Parts: sequence; structure tokens; C-alpha cells
Amino acid sequence: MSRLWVLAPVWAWLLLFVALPVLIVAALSFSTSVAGVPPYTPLGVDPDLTNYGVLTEDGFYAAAALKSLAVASVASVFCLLLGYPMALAIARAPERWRSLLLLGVMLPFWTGFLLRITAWIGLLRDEGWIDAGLTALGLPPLHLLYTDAAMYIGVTYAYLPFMILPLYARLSKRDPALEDAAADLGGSPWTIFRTVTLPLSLPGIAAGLALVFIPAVGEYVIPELLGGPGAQTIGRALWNEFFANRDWPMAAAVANALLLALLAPMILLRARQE
Amino acid sequence: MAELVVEQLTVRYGPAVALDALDLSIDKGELFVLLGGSGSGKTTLLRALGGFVLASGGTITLGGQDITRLPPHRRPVNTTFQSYALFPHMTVAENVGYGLRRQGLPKAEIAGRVTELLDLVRLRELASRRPDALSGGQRQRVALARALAPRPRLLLLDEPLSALDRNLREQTRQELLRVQAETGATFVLVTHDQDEALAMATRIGLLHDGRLEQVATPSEIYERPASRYVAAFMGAANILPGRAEGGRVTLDGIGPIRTAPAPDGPLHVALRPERLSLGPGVNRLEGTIERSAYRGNAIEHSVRAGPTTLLVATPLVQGLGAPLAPGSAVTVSWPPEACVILTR
Repeated sequence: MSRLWVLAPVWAWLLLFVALPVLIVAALSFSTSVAGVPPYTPLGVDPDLTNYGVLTEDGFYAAAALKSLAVASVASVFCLLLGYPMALAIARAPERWRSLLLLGVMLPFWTGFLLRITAWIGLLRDEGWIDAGLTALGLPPLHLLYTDAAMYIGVTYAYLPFMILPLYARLSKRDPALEDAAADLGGSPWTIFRTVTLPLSLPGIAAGLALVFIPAVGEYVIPELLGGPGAQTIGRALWNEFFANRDWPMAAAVANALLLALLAPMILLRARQE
Repeated sequence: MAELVVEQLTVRYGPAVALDALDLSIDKGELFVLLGGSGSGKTTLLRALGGFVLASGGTITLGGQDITRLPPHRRPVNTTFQSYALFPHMTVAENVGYGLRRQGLPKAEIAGRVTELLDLVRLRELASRRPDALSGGQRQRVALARALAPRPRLLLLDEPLSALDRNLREQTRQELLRVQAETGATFVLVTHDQDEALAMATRIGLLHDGRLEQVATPSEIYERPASRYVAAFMGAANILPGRAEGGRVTLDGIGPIRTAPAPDGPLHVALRPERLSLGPGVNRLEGTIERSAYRGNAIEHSVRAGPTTLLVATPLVQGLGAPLAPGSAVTVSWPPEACVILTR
């Protein structure tokens, strides 16, 4: 009985801030856009599938979804390639250095997200530090801002800590005696990494990829601020439906489709594991 | 010719000297035991032989080859680690085959050698298990098979029995001796347990403060310890100060005793509890019982005698005997040959 009381706030929280919003958005996606306040027909009255029809018929949404998946995938891979050596270096650093290095990883969170992305505009724009530096060295400028490259840099930068932290958590718990044993049995440093360190850190890699990939798919701000006009991601499509077209039901349908696309593989994976 | 020759080996951790100009020579096929307390340098010496600690000075030669500067993966030396360090993501067979795969042997040859080793340690039926599904004794045997698989010139064993309970320890000890006899490999085993060392070693090297106090066979190190430290470490509980003049020994505060001839000067006499008896004898001391405890195979008496307290163990050969009441007057005696003369 007392356990029930302990869990009550948790359930109340989940009900109010997870289940209810999801239900409202779901109901919203079946209503129709009208001019007025609120800008949709009453929820649950006369539901129809028009919005989902548009979603599947208009190639724009499928293209945006694919673009988002591509952005999230590329950024996840970049985060892994950059984050793994960093996490391993921190895990191998002397004990007294580790918390300082971890603090360094988390330091960007001390400033606002928008501010940091805006700062990248200053670095990437044509008169920015990167191109100015290249020009000073007599090299051709890259004109990075408002390109896909700028978007990938931004997403990788923003989500890198979410890759490093779970990887570090896993790597810091590794048993150094296993690496000693592998060396003892004739493993060169690279072989030890390939056959012992890497396979034992796979759960950390999976956690890091999930933490980067899932939010990166719905990312709206970075493609909007750094990406080119062609970078129509699903996050931007959603934002446009909601704020530019004021078509709340359509925006809700896009949000639902995104949620399903992300949940379905996870649920399937869970089912297969059990 | 000696298989392993260590000359003037020195290891420093910053200002601390872990091994101090150590010399050691081990023959092929020996089971050499490095014995010592914590901080004696025995683990450092083992790690230096394995290549995990770099020597600050001196050389290590194995089978005529100077391996002092070789990294661990280039040394024909394998180790069984104290924690076993089995790879948790591999099966028993994959663990045993790890070193063979590093040598790039053909698959069929690896499989054959793995089976051969699993037979040697009697684990063939567990080949496809993961380490976390094994008992402590089984893990120990997997670690042994894995280390032996690449046919190392030298096998290092770091406290191989310390994580096992008492019954299993005796069984595993026999197993180790059998495997060593069957493979004829050179073993260097580290332990802090003197019983283990006595029971297994061809020779024992007793380490103290980064130096070898004595290197000798088990009976030699037990019967003729080279120093007070060795005598105490090997279980001689009674060490009495004295001096010798004209070959005759006088114990401080006790008086002259009969021993084998001793070199003149200050010395110590070590007396093992089990070589002392209660009753008349050549050398005797009157005393009173302070404490008397039943130990199963013996009764241990603490006897206050003059300036000292002697530990006397009376063996219970026929299962008879009882502790004596504190305060009882007794005579402690011992034969001359029970006296071990220690001049350092």
C-alpha cells in the first residue's frame, strides 16, 4: 500500500505531462483546421483521416522525414567517432583529472542553447573566424553557413555530450585487468581495442546513439539557423504547419507520424529481445 | 643453463623503490614461488616479468633473449591474473583460443589446441559457457588453460589460489602441480601464504622491501632461514636475542644453552613452537602457563619464562590432551638441534 503512495506522484506526472498531451495531440490530428480560436474543429467530434492522407500523398513530408533521418544518422555517426576517443581518454585519465574533464564536456550547458548555436553563425559565416582564418593563410574560404555541412557541424556539436556521457559511464567501469590479459596473450594495442575494449562498450555505444539520434531527428532550431533553405527537415515542416500555416491538426499529424516512426523500431527491438 | 635470469632489476615508482637491484635465476621446468607480505615487491616483480611495469634498471633474460624492453604482447610470457581477468563477452573456448588467434594460427589448429587444453584442465564440457556461468575454481582453470595455450616459455601465476575457499584451494593446488608436471613449463607463482609456498615450490624466493631475503628449497628455507625476517615469516614464533663466545651461545636474561657451534658475536636463536616440549630435556626453562588453547591438531601454550614468553605447541598425535590452567608451573625444554642460529 505504501509503495502505491510513493509511486503516486510518478504516475500523476506521467498521466498529466506525458499521456494527456499525447492523447490531445492524437485527437487534434483527426480534427480539421478552421479559422477561429481555437483553430480546429472540436476534438473527438467527427474525426477524419484527411491529415494523414495529405501526409502520405504529398511527397514533401516523406522527403522531410528522410532528410531528418539522414541528418540524425550522420550526426550520430560523427558524434560516435568524435565522442568515443574523448570518452576513452577521460576514462583512462588519472582519477583526479576525470571530474575536471567531464566538467569540460558539460560546460556548454551552462549557457543557453540558442546562444551557442548563434555563436556558430559567427564562426561559420563568410566574414567569420573560419573563413577569415583560411583567407589569412592564403587558402580559399569554405562559405559554410547555410549549407548542409553547417547543419551537420551544428547538430554534432550540440549532441556530442549526449554521446560522451553514456560512453564514459560504460568505459570508466571497464576492468583494466582485461586489457592487461589481452596484451599478455599477444594482443597489440589496436587488437586489444578491437577485441576487448570496443565489444565490451557496445551497450554504451547503443545508449549514446539513442540519446543523439532520437532528439536529432526532431531537431528544428539547428537546421533553421545554420542549414540552407533546402534542408527541409521534419522538425522544420512541423514548425511551419504550426506557426506559418496555423494548421494545428496537420502539425499534430506530422508530430504523431514522427513519434510513431521513432517508437516503432524501439518497440520491435524490445519485442525481439524478449 | 638457467631459463630466466634477472640481473640488478630495479623498479621505482617516483621516489619509492619497489624492487632494489634484484638478482634471480630460475631453471627450466621449475615451479618457483615468490613469497612475501604486502608491499614486499612480489607483485611488482611479477608485473615486471610480464612487461606491465618497465624496469628502471637491470635486465631480464628469458631463454637467452633479453626481454627487458619488450612490451607484454611481444614476450613469450603469459600470466594468470589474481582476478582471472576472463573476457566476459567470450565463451570458455574463445577465451582459451584468444592467444592462439593472436598468433594467426589456422582455425583447425586453434580448435585442436583449445580442446587439448580444455581436456588438460578437465573443462571440455563447459567449452561453450560464458565465464559468468562458471564457479570460482572453474574460472581459475580457464585462466590457466588460456595462459598455457600459446605455449609460453614462462607462466606467471598471481595469487592463483587466494580467491578460492579452503577445500577448493587444496584441490586446485594439486591440479596446478599436475598441469605443471604434464606441460613441463616453467612456472613463477606469487603468494603471501607460506603453507602454499612450502607445499608447491621447487624453490622459494622470499621477498622483503624489494629485495630477496633468501632463495632456497622449501625444507632449506624452513629449517635454515637466513635471517630473523625469514624465520619469523616462515612461522618461527620464538626468536630470542643472545650472543656467542668461543662457539657457545648465551641467551640474554636466560643463560647459556647447548646448540650447534655458533660464530662469535651477537645473534638470535629461533625456536619453532612444535620443536619445544613440556617436560625435561637438554635445554630447559622453568615457567608458568599464561594461556593455553586447543587447536585441533595441537595445543598451543603461551609460557612465561624469565624475560620472555615462549609459544609451545604440543602435537595431539593420538587425539589426547587438554589445555592447561593458567598459572600452572611447567618446564619448557628443547634439543640442541632445535636451535636455529641467526646472525642477521
